[in-house]
Amino acid sequence: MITEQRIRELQEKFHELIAEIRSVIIGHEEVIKYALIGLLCGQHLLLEGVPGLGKTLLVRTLGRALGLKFARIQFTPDLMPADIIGTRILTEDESERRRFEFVRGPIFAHLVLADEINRATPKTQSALLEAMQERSITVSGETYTLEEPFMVLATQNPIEMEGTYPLPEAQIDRFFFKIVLRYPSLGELEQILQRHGSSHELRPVRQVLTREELLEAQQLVAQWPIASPLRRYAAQLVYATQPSSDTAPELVKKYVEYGASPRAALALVWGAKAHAFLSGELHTRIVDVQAVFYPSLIHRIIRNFRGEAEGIPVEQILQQVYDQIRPT
Amino acid sequence: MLRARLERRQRLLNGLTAASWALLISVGIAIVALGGSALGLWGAVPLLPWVIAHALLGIVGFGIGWICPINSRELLFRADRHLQSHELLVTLYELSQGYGPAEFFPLLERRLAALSVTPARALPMGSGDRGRWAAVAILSFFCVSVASLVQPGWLPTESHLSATAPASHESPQASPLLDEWLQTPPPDLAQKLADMRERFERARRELALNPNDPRARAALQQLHAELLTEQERLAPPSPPTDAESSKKSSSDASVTEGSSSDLRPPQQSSSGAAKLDHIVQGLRSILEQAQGLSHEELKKLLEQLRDALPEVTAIAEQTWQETQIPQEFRQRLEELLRELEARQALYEQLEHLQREIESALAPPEPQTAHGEEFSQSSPNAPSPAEEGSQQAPSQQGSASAQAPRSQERSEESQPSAGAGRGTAPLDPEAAKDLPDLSELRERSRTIPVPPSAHDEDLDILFEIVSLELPKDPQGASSPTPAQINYERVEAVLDMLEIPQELRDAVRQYFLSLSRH
Repeated sequence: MITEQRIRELQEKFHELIAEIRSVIIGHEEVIKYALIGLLCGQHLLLEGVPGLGKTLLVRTLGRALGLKFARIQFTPDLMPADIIGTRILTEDESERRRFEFVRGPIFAHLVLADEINRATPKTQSALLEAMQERSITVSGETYTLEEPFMVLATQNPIEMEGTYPLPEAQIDRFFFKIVLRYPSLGELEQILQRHGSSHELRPVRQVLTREELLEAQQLVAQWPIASPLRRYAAQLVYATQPSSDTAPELVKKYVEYGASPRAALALVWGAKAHAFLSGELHTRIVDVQAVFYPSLIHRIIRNFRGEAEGIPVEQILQQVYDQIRPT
Repeated sequence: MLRARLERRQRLLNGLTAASWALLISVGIAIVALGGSALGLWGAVPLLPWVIAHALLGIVGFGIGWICPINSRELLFRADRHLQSHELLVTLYELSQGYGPAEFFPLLERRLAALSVTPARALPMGSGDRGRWAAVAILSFFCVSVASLVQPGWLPTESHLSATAPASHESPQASPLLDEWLQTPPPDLAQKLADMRERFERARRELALNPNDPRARAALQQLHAELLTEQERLAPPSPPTDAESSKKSSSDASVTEGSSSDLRPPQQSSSGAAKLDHIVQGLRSILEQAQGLSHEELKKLLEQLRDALPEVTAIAEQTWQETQIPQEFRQRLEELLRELEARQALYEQLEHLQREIESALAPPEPQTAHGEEFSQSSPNAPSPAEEGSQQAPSQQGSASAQAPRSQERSEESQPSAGAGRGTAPLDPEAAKDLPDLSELRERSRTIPVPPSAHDEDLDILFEIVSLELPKDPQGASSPTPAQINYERVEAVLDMLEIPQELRDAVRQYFLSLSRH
């Protein structure tokens, strides 16, 4: 039975979690919020940003604050799928009988940081993405279910594209949000220096939420009330990104090859619910849908040759969609 | 409950929107129609029915808007946006409908209670609607202005109201009886008249064989009664006015212009024929004077005639109130006149037959040269004092017969009718002493004739009297012997058939008067 008191308690815990993360991470409020939304929805995030912006620190802090098992995989061109999901090795038991035993890879964690995912080969990338999608892995005909909560936070570096294997669009679509980390402002940079300038040791992070509480919150968010006009609004937003749709704005028709998939609409609705939960509301609002519009769609818009050649940013296209489509 | 209130509010707004559209279009059409009327493309626009039609159209539009189906979800979503309640209403509605976890419903309901939701705040009138109503108001004002210029008087203005509203108390309105009589079409008496005529001829033949045949006399008496009934149906009902008011109106009539005082009802006769004739003459006079008059002039004319011709003016004013447009008013008056003249013609035919019956019923008597003896010897002939009560129909006939038009028609349709009514040619010897008849005839068209003469020659004779008699400033208060004699003669003239020997006496009487 859902009670308002329990909802308030969980919302309060998440506010504490945000505060705890902020005690370590300077700035990046939006990134923290979206990371928690992804966590509440049990979905995976793609973090994009130059090195040194605190991506790994964010994920590690999150894992500690939640008391979850955390794993980091540094993707390199020679990384093999077995390095991620695990492998079978020949072992000998006490009775000297030999048998294959499955040694679990780093994917068997609650929070997985796939660092610089675009540096691994497509074969390795697809192994990770399959695990992300299925939430289980199959090795030698044996299936292993990944323990909930399971969340992959993949990062990719927009520079140094040489020797990288950019993720195919179909695989990028599997990420719930794409969060672009901006360079910190001068003030934030000063704060970073002030807080972490004296020691390499990070400030210890307090666990504010248990795994069970996180799962309870996930269940709560899944059934968070959202009115049908909001669902229609989310659908209209996604539909307008299709260049063939009658509601598509000019930029979409001109520069977009493929619009957002239905998965984007799901991300909008789920993300809006989680955003409403984090905002302390008891129901989903239009502002919640609008708040998750950019991270839900930005990696799902595929520009055409003209758009890429003219350097039209996807954000600009989405801005036009956002401005043109109004809730009805 | 809130949803029901919001739905009612939305229906109201829908109704107002539909009504505003309907009125906007109809007022636009009205302006075009008025413009066309002003440019002379077509005739006058009947604006009062148009206004009623506009109102009805608005009501119909409102009704259509009210019954339009309402999507509660969209309605509440819109209300949420106006209230800035962040989709709380629509979420609650969907939870109440079973969409979403029901556990959240009580939680959100508590939040709703904190909001002070009023239908007007949740669903305000849109700017489009406000603009449309403003446009309707402006166009209506423009329409009224144009109408006042193009068709003045279509709308009861303040001056109009001040003229008409008190008049409704002061001026005599057409009484309900009179109004009912006007509304009733004249009965179709052609067949009945022929039947009566046949019955009369049969009875008269029987009486010729046996003057004391009781059966024939009874048949004639019954026929007489039937005729009286038909006459009553044709004649206008007597108004319940007292003598004082009529006296006042007659005294006030001297103030008004001559044409109206000429048409004043005869004081002595209140019979149906006289009244019918009086109404016809009055309406005809109003119609003639109304030719080419504007709205204001027409109103003024009716006001002037109100005292002199209370009943006629009441009918005319009633017609005016129904039409409000001079041209239509004249058309309606002409129609009314035609109808009244038809009644008059019927009435005269009945009257003629009635006289024939009365003469047939009169017992045969010795012919005397003295009119007084004639009146005394005739049991059915009334004395002058009894004229008003017993012989009213007869007098009505005589009064109505004075109208030249009706008289001509009567003579044309019934050439034999004048045989016993003094229409025999005058003695040439006596005629030498008379003024030129053609000249008098011309003058008779302009000079008012009292309603007691019968035929054209009698009219002339009477004009001689009225021209030659010294005017008595005291009026009828001190009748001279000549006047008394005249009344006796008039009583004789009222008889259906004037014996030949009495005609000479009458002529001698008038000639003696002219000499003095």
